[in-house]
Amino acid sequence: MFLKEKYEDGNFVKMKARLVADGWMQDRLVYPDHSSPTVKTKSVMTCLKLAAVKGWSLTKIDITSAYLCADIGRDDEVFMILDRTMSNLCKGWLLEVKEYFREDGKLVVKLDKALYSLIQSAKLWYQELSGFLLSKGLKVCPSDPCVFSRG
Amino acid sequence: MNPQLRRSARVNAGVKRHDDRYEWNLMSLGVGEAIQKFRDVAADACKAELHQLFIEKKAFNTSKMERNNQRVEEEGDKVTHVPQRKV
Repeated sequence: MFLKEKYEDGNFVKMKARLVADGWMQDRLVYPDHSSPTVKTKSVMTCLKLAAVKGWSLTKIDITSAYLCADIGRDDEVFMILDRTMSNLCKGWLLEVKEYFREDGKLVVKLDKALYSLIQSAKLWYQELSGFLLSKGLKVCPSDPCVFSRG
Repeated sequence: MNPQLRRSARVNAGVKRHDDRYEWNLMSLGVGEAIQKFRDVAADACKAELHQLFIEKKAFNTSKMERNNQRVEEEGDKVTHVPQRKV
């Protein structure tokens, strides 16, 4: 869990929490190939050079909570145990039913999205994004799986 | 130590007019420790995160313990892949 403070004129304003899964507890034998491709520096430089030479305009986008856009496949089931403090926070306003809680008061949840810190999250996100781009008619570059182009 | 000012990318992109002058300070705290230190502020932050994951993003849903135990009894090692912690 990571928490951030927000300051405005030196005064404390608010705090944000981020829940991450302990991916190191996952059995790596279940995911023999979990690597995700990352863009090569050469590709970035080539694109920048092309844009400079041909006068193309460049833009960048930020996808918020990107990993949470990727679904965990139906073939894969990942369960996570929330610790007692987090489980207690769910009681009362989020969950009323006691049958979801274990005897020790901890809550077990089944993950539907690629939560941050899971072994397979990066790969799932790549598959989600590349699938979307390919469906829009873009083609993947044979020398770099992170570069997509039209035509 | 004064945290560095984070520039708003949204203002630079023209999406947002005003640049909120804010600074973020990243901490790596456990939930219990944070609640003990910051009380309701930390608890509210955790609740907001749970609300986002449970309801807005639907990142996970609850799993009934009875059903899980039943599956473990029926399928045994096929459904359990939790490695033991090395001490």
